[in-house]
Amino acid sequence: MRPEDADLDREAQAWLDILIDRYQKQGMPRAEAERRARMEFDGVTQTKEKVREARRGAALETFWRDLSYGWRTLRKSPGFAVVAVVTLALGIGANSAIFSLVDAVILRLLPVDHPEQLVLLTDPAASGVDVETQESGVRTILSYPEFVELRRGNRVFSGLTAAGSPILDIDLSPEERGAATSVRARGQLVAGEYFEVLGVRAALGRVFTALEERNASPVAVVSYDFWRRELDGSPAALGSSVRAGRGVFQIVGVAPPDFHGITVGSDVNIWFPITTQPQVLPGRDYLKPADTLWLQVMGRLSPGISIKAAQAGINVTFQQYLRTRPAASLIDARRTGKPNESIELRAGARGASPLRDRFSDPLLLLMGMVGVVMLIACANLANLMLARANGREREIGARLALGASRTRLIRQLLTESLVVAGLGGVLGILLGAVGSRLLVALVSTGMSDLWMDLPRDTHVLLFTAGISILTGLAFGLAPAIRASRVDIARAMGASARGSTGEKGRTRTGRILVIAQVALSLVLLTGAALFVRSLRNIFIQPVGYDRSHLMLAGIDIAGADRARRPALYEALRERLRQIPGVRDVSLSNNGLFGDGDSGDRLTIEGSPEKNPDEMHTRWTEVGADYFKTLGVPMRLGREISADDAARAAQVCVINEAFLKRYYPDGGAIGRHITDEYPTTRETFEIIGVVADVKEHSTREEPRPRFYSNVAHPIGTLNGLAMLLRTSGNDAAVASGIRQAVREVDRSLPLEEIRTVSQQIERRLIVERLLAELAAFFSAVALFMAAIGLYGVISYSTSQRRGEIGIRMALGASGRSVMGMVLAQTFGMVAIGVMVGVPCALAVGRLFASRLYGLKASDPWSMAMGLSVVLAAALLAGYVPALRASRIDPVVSLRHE
Amino acid sequence: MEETTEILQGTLDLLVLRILELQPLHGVGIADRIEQVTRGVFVVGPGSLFPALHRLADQGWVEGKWGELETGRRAKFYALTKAGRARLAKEKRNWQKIATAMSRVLAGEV
Repeated sequence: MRPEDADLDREAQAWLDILIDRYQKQGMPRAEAERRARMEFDGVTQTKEKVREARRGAALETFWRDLSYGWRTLRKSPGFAVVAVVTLALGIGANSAIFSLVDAVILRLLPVDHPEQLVLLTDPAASGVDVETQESGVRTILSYPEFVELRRGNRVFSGLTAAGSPILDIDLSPEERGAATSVRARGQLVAGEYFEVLGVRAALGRVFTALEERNASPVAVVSYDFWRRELDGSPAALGSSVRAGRGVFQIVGVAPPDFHGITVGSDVNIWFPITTQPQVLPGRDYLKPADTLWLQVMGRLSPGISIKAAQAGINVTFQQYLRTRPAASLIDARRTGKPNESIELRAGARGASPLRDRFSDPLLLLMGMVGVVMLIACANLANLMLARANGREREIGARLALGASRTRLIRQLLTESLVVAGLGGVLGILLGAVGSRLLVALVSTGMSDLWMDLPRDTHVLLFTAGISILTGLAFGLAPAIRASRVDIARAMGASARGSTGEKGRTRTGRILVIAQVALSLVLLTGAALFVRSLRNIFIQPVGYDRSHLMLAGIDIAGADRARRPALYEALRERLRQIPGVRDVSLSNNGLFGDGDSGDRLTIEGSPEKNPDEMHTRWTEVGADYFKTLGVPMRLGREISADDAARAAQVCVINEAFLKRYYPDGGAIGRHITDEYPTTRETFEIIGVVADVKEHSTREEPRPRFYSNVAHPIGTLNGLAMLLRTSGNDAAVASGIRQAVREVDRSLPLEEIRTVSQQIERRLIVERLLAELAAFFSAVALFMAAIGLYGVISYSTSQRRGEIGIRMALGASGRSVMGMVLAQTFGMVAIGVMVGVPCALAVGRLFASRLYGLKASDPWSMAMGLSVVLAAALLAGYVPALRASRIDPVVSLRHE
Repeated sequence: MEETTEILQGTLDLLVLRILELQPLHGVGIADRIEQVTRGVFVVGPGSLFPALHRLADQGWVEGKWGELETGRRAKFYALTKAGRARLAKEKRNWQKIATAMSRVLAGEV
């Protein structure tokens, strides 16, 4: 019960008691007296309720009156209103934009039935098709045979389902209209009970059945957006057929509008039953090999079963399966004598996402950054409100004199700041919506398949409304309280201007500005650190000239294996004829791509005898690989066109390999054997090459061998053509397209990029941090400069009289200017003194993200400082100039 | 009781303010005084007086403070505030105008 209510009860009771006393004195018995008193009260409860109701009504009415009063006063000073609302909108917009990403990547639950019951049997961050890994320990991703066994033996989940972790880029063409048009779509292979386990019902038509998985039925479910966009949102789309890969699929259903699959950060347009993989992706087999790991597996916990019990249960099934599996027991038996793989359950309510691991820390860091921007915006607004409240001292004094209570005045001034906050919030939501789209666009330059479902939900709206109100209170409360302490007599007096009370106001203003300077210094230094770290990463030498180097991905899964060596040579030959292309080679993984390969091996003639110590990375390369890159051979020769044509079992090792396994030399002519679980391939070492960086500018030299791509290790589905160019990138790119078409029309050409673009893509997180930090600190600095300018010009205008006297007594314009600038820099100096230790402390928080410099990097600090000082000079210069031009006669008369 | 009259809307506030102008009083005291000074024409029950007092307090015209009666019972005593005094003056003028106008009409100067 609220205190007012308790008081109301006490008062009513006291009232009743007096009446009862009176009736008893008149001779009534106690019960009778009580009844009579209550009757007079028309029911005590109702009467009390009447009071409360009136009170609520009055409060609402007062609120509306304050609101319209606030609105009117704001309209009277549009300049103030615009600055305040824009400042706030920038702060709120930045927060709302970053928050919408945080929400989409980290917070949001899948739009399915009871997402909290879902668990992932695989690592949410795992993605891709993994055929090389020798698994041990906790499994990150599963194969189809494993999934089938788990599903068969399952006792702990009410349902178990799987989805292929690679989202496929496929061409869909409508069957009826012939092959005239085709659209690029993003497809996913999913288990038969996928929709059923998730509890996702079709918006139109139906979803898959388990039977359709068993029969590999050619059916498909499309996403709502895709249906609207590509199928005209027509119900006739149901039952129509589309061609995908080598199959023709009948569309049987449309998913609900908000469902985009279980992978956050990717959009799926069309789902196929998992067993149709050979039709959708011809030329590969993902279904039979137990070591082709590509499935995210999700289960729904049976009621009453804990995640722990479920984990124990599913691992029993998994171990039983592993014991029957020859490949696994082969590797594990060699290593430990028994299978040591297991499954770990993780909460699945937020779905899978390779994005989340990479982006959640940077996003939280950015959230902190925009939080600081918001603080600066609040300080700025508090300052503005303070200045305004001061200008209204007379009005406030008059209202106090007329009997307005202090709380009432504070409430009114607060309502005014809430009006500003509300306007800023509305504008901020718009800015935030634009901003979050820009952010996604920025991120997707690094991840071509990124897609994010931006705020269609209420989280972001609630968040924005919340911070708007909070900031409204934050910047409004202190000035409102200060303003209500106006001394009535003085405020009403004629010479209120420029008198002693001003000192308090400027002091508060100064403290706010000092805080702003300190906070912007923290942001600027942080931004400088990120920018310098990014530069450090970027300028690391990779061991070859990375400009004028292009990559073109080609999918060769459909190409006949026996003819591949000839195909590679034909491609090299034809690509070399493109004007501006000097050398051409190829490799399995390309440069700075997502994949790398590694295996255990046996090494002939190496002093290293421990088999556990023998492992290496490897790359499959075509002829002239190092010539194309421009990397010098240290010993021997590289793989030649002749080796390629013969599919010779030869390889080149790098210096790190030589140092590690042949410390005494004598590597040339020796043999190494790659121990892939199902195949063993032996290569003769024909050369030693310098160490180079192929996957990250930050990588350390590691042992690696380069084998002949014409004699592949395991299966090869895609490769990257590598071109050393001297001409225009765009012209070469179109030349590549034409050339590949001429060699083989059916070869799917994937993206063409320069190696520099490829490196930039790898650095997306670092770029995001550096670019946004720079942007947000610029916004912060701008606000701080406005604040500084405001305080300095206010205080010089207050000192007009004093300055006039000084000038009348012979002070020069220059010395007045110096005086005002000194005042400015005095404040900035305090801000810097507070800001430097803060910046150092904050820098330590993200020291692990910095490359090649420490959090206390003096250059970054110097950059931050000089930008702050420059902005301060600018902000102080205008009022200083104005002060120096004060006409003593005018200013003294004014006083 | 048959003699009592329904209080006009708005009149009650004026009556209460006027009564409180003389001295602070508690609820029952105010009701007694109204009955007494209007010679029993107006009888105000707690059912309407209680909300009226709170309405006036919320407007800032009266102020309630806990005090003690002669009998030793505690009760809330209401007093006129500065704003209340100003309000009363205004209401009085208003009432005079209405009363004059009404009596002129009723006296037949149509």
